[in-house]
Amino acid sequence: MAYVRLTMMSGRLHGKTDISVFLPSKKRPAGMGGRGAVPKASYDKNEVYQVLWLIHGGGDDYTAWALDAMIQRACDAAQLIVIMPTILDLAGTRKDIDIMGFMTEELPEAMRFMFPISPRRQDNFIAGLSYGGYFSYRCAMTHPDMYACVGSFSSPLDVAEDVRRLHAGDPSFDSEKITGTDRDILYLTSKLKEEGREMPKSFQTVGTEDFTWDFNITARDHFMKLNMDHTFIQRPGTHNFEFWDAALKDFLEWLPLTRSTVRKERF
Amino acid sequence: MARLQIHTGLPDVTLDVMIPEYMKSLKAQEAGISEKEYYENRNLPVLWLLHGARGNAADWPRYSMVEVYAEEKGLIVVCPTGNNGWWVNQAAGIPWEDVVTEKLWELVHGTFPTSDMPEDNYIAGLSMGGYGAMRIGLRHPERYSRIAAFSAGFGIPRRYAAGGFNALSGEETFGDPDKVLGSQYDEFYTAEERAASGNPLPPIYLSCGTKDGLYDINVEYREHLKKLGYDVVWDEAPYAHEWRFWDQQVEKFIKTLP
Repeated sequence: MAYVRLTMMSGRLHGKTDISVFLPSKKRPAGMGGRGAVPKASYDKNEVYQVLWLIHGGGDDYTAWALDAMIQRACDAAQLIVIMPTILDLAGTRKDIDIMGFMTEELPEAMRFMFPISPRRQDNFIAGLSYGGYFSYRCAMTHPDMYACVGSFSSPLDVAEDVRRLHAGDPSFDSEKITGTDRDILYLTSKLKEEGREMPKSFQTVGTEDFTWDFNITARDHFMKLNMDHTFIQRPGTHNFEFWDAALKDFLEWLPLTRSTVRKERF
Repeated sequence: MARLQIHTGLPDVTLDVMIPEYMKSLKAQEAGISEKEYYENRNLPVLWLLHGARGNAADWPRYSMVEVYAEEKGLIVVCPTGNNGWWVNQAAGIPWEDVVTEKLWELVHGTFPTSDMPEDNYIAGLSMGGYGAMRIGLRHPERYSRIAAFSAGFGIPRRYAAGGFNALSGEETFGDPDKVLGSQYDEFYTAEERAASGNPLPPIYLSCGTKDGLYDINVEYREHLKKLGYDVVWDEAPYAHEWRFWDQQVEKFIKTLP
């Protein structure tokens, strides 16, 4: 496993942004143990990896999943490239930066250039914790052709309700301006269903003691009513990395992983 | 350039990598090339850049403007950490030459948008890294096609053999002083060995500051190369052993690249 701290220039964000990347170790032949023991001359420019776009929570940055969580070995075993960007505007309230354009256009272009990442829908997964999970659903449900799977861990997926209850009076949040827009996950999913479009498979988990529990449940009920291909997992727990470490491992178990590289000629 | 600081997972090895990026390529933007088109070429040339003694992977990015020069050229720059190991397979230590030419070669070419053809891979370094780049470049025609050494630490194995060099991992690196001359550690011998190998000789860029204590040995090495039939570009300027000189030199060397 290699850990990369990457600094790139973003046009959509009008400046430099930092990103963490996990690169999986090469699978070792049986008997070749040891940290960093790679077989000789074992790269192939036509092999690409499945990719997990993994988003931090509100007020955090690219270091959250890499340093606060303990997920590196699980990601390595999954043979995924994991991209952990810094998302400055998870709620989508800022006018000065184009966070959706960054996440769904600019970043994928740049990362597919720099790393051996599969561009195919079936190899692209997006997930996040807390508001990062909300943002992940927003990306996936506005770009259902880009991601095969989406996951949220302790996220206020019914964001209008979250804003009404927890952010009332905050001028940057206005629940009236969310309902029925592309910031409203319930609206986005209903619309995709109406249009009969293929939706990403969705995963949702939350701790029974978490303060976002209620807005998880209303969202879950909405997804069930739409008859989406949706997985909901509850477990005892609250809003912390102990929960998210376990949640990420559940999510990896649930994903359709190849656990190996994919040859480019096959697509 | 995007800057990547990499913990490789290989024991002791960190890596600094710079990769050209669209937002900083005014040339591409002015030519009306889109982001998507710009990123379609995943076949960029690579400059392997070795640091000097007491250095690490971050030295070149910190003290020089190599990022600006490489950006203009559309070049990927790879700067490994090699501690004080003289970039050789140490007699009793780490096999730095193998790390660079095998482990990091695989990691870099298996990951980044590079060309792994020798004509697109160049190796250069300063001081200890100049000695390292020269030696590694000459010993691996299957990897690198051009070599540059700035203020290179030539003559160190010779001094060690004569008992005049005991600092900086001499014993761990070169082993038995009686066996150093004419061995794989002797860079004068390496040049002879390559000249006799029948492989085409790479163009070589050599330079040293005139106020540098290593000036005389660099002149001697230049003459040695010329006598063996190498094509050598030489440069010198009134500098000591210092970054102002190496910054100018890396810019000049990059301008000589195809």
